[in-house]
Amino acid sequence: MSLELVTLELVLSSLGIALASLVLFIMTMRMYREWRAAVHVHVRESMTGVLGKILDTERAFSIQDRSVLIDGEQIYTVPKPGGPVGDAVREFLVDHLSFISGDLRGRLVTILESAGYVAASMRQLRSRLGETRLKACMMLGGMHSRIAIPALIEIFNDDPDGKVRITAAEALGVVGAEPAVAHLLKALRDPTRFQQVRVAEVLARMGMMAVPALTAAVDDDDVRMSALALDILADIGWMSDFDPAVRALTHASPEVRARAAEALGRAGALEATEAVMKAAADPAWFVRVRVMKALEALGAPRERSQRARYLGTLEQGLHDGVWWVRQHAAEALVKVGEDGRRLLARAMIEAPDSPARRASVSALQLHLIASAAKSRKTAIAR
Amino acid sequence: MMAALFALVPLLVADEAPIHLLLRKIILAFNDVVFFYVIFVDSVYLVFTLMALAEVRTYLRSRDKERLEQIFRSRLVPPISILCPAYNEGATIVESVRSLLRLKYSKHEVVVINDGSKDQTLQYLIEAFGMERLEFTFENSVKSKSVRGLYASPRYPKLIVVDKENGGKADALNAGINASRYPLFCTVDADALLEEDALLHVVKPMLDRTKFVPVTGGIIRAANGCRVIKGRVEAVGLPRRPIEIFQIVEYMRAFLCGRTAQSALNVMLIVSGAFGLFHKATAKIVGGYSTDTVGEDKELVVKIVRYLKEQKREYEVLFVPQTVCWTEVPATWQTLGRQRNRWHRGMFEVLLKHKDLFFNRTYGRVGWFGMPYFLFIEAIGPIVELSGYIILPLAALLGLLAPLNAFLYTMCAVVFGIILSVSSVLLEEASFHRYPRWKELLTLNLYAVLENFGYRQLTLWWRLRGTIDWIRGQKQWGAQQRQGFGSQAKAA
Repeated sequence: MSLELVTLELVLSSLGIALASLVLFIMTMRMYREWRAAVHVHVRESMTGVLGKILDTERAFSIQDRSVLIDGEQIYTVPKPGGPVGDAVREFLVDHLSFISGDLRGRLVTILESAGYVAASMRQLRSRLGETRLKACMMLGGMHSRIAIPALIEIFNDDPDGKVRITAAEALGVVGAEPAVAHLLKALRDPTRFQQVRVAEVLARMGMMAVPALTAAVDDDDVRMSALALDILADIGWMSDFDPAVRALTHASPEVRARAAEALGRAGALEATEAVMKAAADPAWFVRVRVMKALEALGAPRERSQRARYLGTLEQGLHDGVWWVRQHAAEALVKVGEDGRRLLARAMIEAPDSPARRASVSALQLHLIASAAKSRKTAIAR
Repeated sequence: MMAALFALVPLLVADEAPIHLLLRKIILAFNDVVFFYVIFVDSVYLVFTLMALAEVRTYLRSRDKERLEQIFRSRLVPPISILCPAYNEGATIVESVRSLLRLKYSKHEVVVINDGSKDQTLQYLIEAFGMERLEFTFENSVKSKSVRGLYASPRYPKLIVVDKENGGKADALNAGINASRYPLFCTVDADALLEEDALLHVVKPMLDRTKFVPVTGGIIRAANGCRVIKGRVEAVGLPRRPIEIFQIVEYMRAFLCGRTAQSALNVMLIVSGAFGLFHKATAKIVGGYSTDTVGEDKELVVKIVRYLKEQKREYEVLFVPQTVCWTEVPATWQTLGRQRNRWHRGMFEVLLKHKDLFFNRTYGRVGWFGMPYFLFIEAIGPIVELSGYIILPLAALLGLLAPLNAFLYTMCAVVFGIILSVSSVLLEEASFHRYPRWKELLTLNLYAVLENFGYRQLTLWWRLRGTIDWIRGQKQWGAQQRQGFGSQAKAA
């Protein structure tokens, strides 16, 4: 054997010491964790009672330095930012900010601003560590402070780290700053889907404020941008100016055409029904699928000739070469009501191609099962 | 055999003939090889643990749970089909499906594939979820045995049940791929429970990486000892039986340390069959799951990696430590032995099937590190280590090594092993902190020590048996026993 007894003893004792240190470290870590948790619990308990008074709109609220005054009487001294206590206070207030709005939100934001929490996070925006800057952006978004808007815009424009820039744009959107829309649209061009989804979610949350810019973005040269803009518009549920989306139904990119059909369906753009029906002849199968879904969402028009064309389009969909299109056409027909189901029953018996018959059978079957379940439920309720 | 070895003792000790001297030298050299092999393997694991510590720390800093939930309500995230193959899973199937239906995600469907179960699996599903038989067609893009029926439920529109002839887990998953509608599919064992936000975390790498991510996997944890109510792990706890606690420590080491590090190195070739997310189009291109192996989960990942390397596409196969899948680990030595035997056979089958990847420039670090790691560390480990347990005492017995030296050698290897096990407990404590009570922390540390005295050797033995069975050409899965999550709820 190549190792001497002394060496072996030395190796073994070193390993033993390493093991003991490891176990000790785990125990210390657990104790520190428990201490932090206790601090959090204490802060939350002490602040819960105070919060009720702060959010009582019938009582006058003011803040001097870090002292919160209700009806002129000091009820709480906000701890300094930083450290376990400061972190716990900030977390507590930020948690509640996401559930309230208007004047009540204003009171909590004022506390965060006056006690120096917003300023502390803004200072962190100058950190050399990307991770710290990213966290600061998140915090500033959570604190809903408009004071931070210029600093966040600066970060969005100049920060070398892409993730930080996106988080800054996101924070701007959460704060609800109108200038954020343009920045968020820029951020929507990020190459990763996750960042796009993040930004899209913020834009959707901004609602009508973002609609004009998004409608303009539908005509963007970047195909991804058009598609995303259509999706976000549908999420917002925009109510007017459907023209860009109707134009997008004939876009060169099938992806955009598909999104346009889906967006019009989800937005319930009844005036676009005719254009959507025309798109049922699209060469791309996945566009046709979305068209069938959109037609289902839009529902059958009341006007007789338009209704006949609508039913004809769906009936044509039953004979499509792709089963997924057939299935959606059949499901849309079920939703039409008696007319649609009659067409399906006819196709089930008379259709020359078996795929159309099968699609009709499965759609009707699903409808019957659903109806039976509904009547059972009604009977039980009675 | 032992008698023959004992008969050799006086000859080797007394005789000074050259042949005997040579024999002694061989035994001593082999001893050295085994010792340094064990130290080398443990050192690799230690490096993995350190890498995992760094990775998990970075991961935890960047996560933002609440935002993730809001983000994944978006329709822009790709929908996911969850495939849940079930063979005689009557004891747990209803709870499992309930937990799958409750997952937080913008759009997902649950496809349960009843693989010709002989028990009441299908019946339980029909009754519990009000399933109705459907006439339905779907494309058979990957091969699978014939489908007997398709069931849907008006009350649970996300749920589809495929009833098919028995063909094994891989075949059932192939049928699930065919019946699924969405571009990503997630495989989940019928005896597994996913945490409600599991899909959010496991899909995130597929969306936030600039490289193509065809596969991601999450951590598997033992549900034994946890309180499970209506398919949800309500309280995490430790089981009473030592066999189950040993496995908890083992899973921490394998997943939290091993997989996290392999993922960081982009050499992860195993995504647990119990829980993995796949890009469907890529899985279809490589032909779906192979039905001629018991290691179908590993094999699919290797096939995908191989295909992407051959296409010269940039990709990453990633492990997400946050994503938790709870599963019922074997509670009897017999079942555990069978499971380990099967895993080891599966590994050899995959290594042999894809042997041309070894040290092949086309496959980059997978060929130079990923595959050799599985062969030299995971696959042949049991042979080398167990032979050490025979040779070392033999050398001491023959007087070739002082008994104290032999003891110290063994202890060095064992204490190194203990450090690794305790490190995985440290990683757990520093990251996800799933076992909040002091008693649990102390128990885990105690078992991290104890597992190196008996349990480790036993698993090595089962893996050795797996190697022998693979050489014999055995392909069976072996029966599995399920207790069901209800019994755990009572126990807790």
